Amino acid sequence: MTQSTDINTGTSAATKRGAANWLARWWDPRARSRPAPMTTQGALRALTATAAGRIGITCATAVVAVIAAGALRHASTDTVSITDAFLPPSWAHPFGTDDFGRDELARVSVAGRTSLSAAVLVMAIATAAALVLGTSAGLIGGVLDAAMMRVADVLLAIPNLVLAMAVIGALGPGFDHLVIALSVGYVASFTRMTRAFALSARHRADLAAARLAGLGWWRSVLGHVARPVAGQLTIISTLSFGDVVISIAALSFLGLGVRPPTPEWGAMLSDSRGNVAVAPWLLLAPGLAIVLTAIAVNLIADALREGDPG
Amino acid sequence: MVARFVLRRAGQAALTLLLASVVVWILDAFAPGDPAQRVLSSEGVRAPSVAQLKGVALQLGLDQPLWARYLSWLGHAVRGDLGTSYISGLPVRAELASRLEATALLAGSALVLVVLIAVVLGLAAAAAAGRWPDIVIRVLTVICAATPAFVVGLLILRVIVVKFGLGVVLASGDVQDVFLPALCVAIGSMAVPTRVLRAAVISAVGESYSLLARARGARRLWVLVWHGLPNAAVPFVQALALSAAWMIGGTVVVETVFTWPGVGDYLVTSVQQRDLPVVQAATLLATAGYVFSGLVADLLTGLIDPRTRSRS
Amino acid sequence: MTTPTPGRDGLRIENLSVRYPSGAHAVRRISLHVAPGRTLALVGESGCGKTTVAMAVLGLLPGTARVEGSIRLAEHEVVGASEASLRRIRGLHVGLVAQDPMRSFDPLLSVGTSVREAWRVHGRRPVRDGVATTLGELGIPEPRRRLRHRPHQWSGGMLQRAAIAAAGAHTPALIVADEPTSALDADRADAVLNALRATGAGVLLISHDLELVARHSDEVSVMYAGTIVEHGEAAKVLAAPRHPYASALLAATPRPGAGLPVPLPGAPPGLDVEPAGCAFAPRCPLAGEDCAENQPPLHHDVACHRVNGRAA
Repeated sequence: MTQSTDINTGTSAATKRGAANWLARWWDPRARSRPAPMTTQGALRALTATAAGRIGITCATAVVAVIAAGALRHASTDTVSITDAFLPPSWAHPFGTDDFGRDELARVSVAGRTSLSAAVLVMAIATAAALVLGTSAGLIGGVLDAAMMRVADVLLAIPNLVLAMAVIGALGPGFDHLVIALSVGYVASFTRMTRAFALSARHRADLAAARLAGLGWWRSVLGHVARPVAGQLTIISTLSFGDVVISIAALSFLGLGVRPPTPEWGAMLSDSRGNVAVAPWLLLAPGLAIVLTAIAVNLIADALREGDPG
Repeated sequence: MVARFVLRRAGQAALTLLLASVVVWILDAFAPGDPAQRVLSSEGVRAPSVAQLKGVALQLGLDQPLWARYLSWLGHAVRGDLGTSYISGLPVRAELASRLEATALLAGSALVLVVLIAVVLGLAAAAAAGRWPDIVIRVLTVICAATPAFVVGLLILRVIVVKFGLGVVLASGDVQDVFLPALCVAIGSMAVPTRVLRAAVISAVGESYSLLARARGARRLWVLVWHGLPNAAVPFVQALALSAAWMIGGTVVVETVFTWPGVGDYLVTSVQQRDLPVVQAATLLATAGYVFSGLVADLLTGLIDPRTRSRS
Repeated sequence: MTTPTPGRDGLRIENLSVRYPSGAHAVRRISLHVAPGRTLALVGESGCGKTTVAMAVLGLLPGTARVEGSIRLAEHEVVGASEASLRRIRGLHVGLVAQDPMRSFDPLLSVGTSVREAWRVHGRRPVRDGVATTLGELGIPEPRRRLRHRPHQWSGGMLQRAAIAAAGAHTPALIVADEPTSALDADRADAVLNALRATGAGVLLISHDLELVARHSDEVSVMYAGTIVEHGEAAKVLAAPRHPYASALLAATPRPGAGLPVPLPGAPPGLDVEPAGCAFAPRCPLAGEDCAENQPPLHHDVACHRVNGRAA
């Protein structure tokens, strides 16, 4: 469970390290937190062998199934039919209908695609930016490194959701702005971690060996630094994915995210407020979708981290 | 020795806050859209003339270079003037001040609840490590971490609406209404502290000194309380500090759900209306809260375990 | 503690067997006797079951371990006793000194508080200045002031002596010392062992340091793969061991003037393996056919077919 693995600014290095170490030992206090590259087989094994992994995969499958089922339905999300408004769940409409008579399952499905694609975009941007920025900071060092870390620290001092709101305040709502706004905080935290990995990777024996063997600077860096760093980044971004989905939902709920008529789980929850006594399924369907997705992602991330050979 | 430690941390915190103000200010300075136009349109002027726009722009100091504008803003802010709302035309500071108490009440109550929940559940999970109560609690933390504060809030509101038939729940911002909103924030933020406390207690109970305590005749509960809890205090405080960001975000959202008249509610409406001076001020206030919580956590850590004080 | 009056009869272990749920048979029918005031050393390689014996004597094995046989501490039976009875035995009739003194003390408590815990868990209080007096007798300078310090301010040797003071708090019949000097420098080791003997209790010294054992113990039991293969007066066993494993162990120990140590080839068998015959047979230079088939009983304090004249 992540809930902000961002390291708080203003805390001393020692306490930060202590906190990071404690956070790394979620289930097993005896597990050590040495990062190591994770293979695809290792990942698959971790996912299927642990209870967390299995439940996580199950939930993820459920979410994907709902999204797929909604997508396959003939009913379009924009088919308005006032006579069919507020129908409770039935065979025809497994999640009922909303205030405009639209099929709720289809809406949840489309909203899911919006939420998840936004989350994926945020993680992709953050990972790519962090890879470039963090690796350069770690490898080049000096003033560039110090300056970037200071900026990152300041960005991390602003609570992530509030920072996103401030960016949206400046740019205005909308899908694109939502993605940018959320990426800022994650770029900062991922860059810090990438820099730490790059620093430790810089001194790895295999990098020195590659250089001694005559390999060019770029090739040796790409192969021996970027690759393990990218591996670690993947795990970290998976850990934060759940938080991102929740943040997207929260921002959309507040009307600060995607603009109507684009459906999004958080926005649907906001819309359901007025009719909550009449049509509780309009609250439960997107709510459950958010929760299931977050559970799935967090459990999968837990399983991957547990399986991380350390 | 302690004073130097405190001063050093406080100085770092102040510097961080200052830099954060730069970042937030830059964000708003580069925001698309013309502030002058926004001010005029909120005053009711539909199609302002060029002269009117220029006049307002001069008033807002928009003709100055960036650094001058920042310093001017900073100068005002330090003296307590946080600017004027584009929308209402009223000073930001007054509105923030009146709402601060409600938010502090909500956030403070949420913190108390998080600590209570985390200590009780974390300790219970550690005491029953590996057995079914531990598993149940772990599952509970997974579910709570996955459930955003506003979903919890909506569910709670639905129960209230259905049970009491109230159309809208208007929260007054007073103590008697704070429990439910605080509970929402707490539920969304309890996962990390609970798990950290559990892990830290299990670790402490597995240490040599705990074994020796039992060898001297102590019962398991004694070891849990007198050796497990105190040694878990430092990681627990750190985990609370890390969750503070999530708690602040949760507070903002919950204030909207329960229409709690606090700073978070103000921030949301100002973002919706792109009322930048308010966004700026409220963001900085939230940041100040977060930085302050980190500072307090550091101080508590130094107090509990003197070994951490000497390290930078 | 200046006039020790230990319990009668010390420690008496008879046919003790310990099995873990994983299948490992850690202790296989061993018998021991430690008279009050005498020091019995239990030696052997890592993993031979020594620590399991120590934990069994204290009743601190995990609940899943299956224990058979008898462990009597001054007329109290440990095997099968309830947790409540065990709490009345621990600390009062048996004490423990662990390996790493730095980890034997709760880092958040003063050394004095930790030592006084030995009394507090039984609802008693030490005699005024009693702890300081005892520590002074054990060679700790300025004990009253030092006791207010935290463990990280003490040295390992001093901490270990404080641990001994705590272990001997109620003049128990036995003190179990599990590798008490492994984490210390050689010159400190003697001081610690002397402190142990000064308590007047029987001492079950678990160690792999044969030099130390030779200097400080009265009797020696050599353990291999969960069984005792040789037993006797320390001077005799260590000068002229009869069992081939004991000889090999001695030959592998670096000693001044004894020439190069000869390491023992191979490794001890895993404890989940149940050999039909002598566990040492695969590595034994004297092994014959019968050795792999019949387990040698402890006869004349040696468990070896060859030595006891049962030639094939």
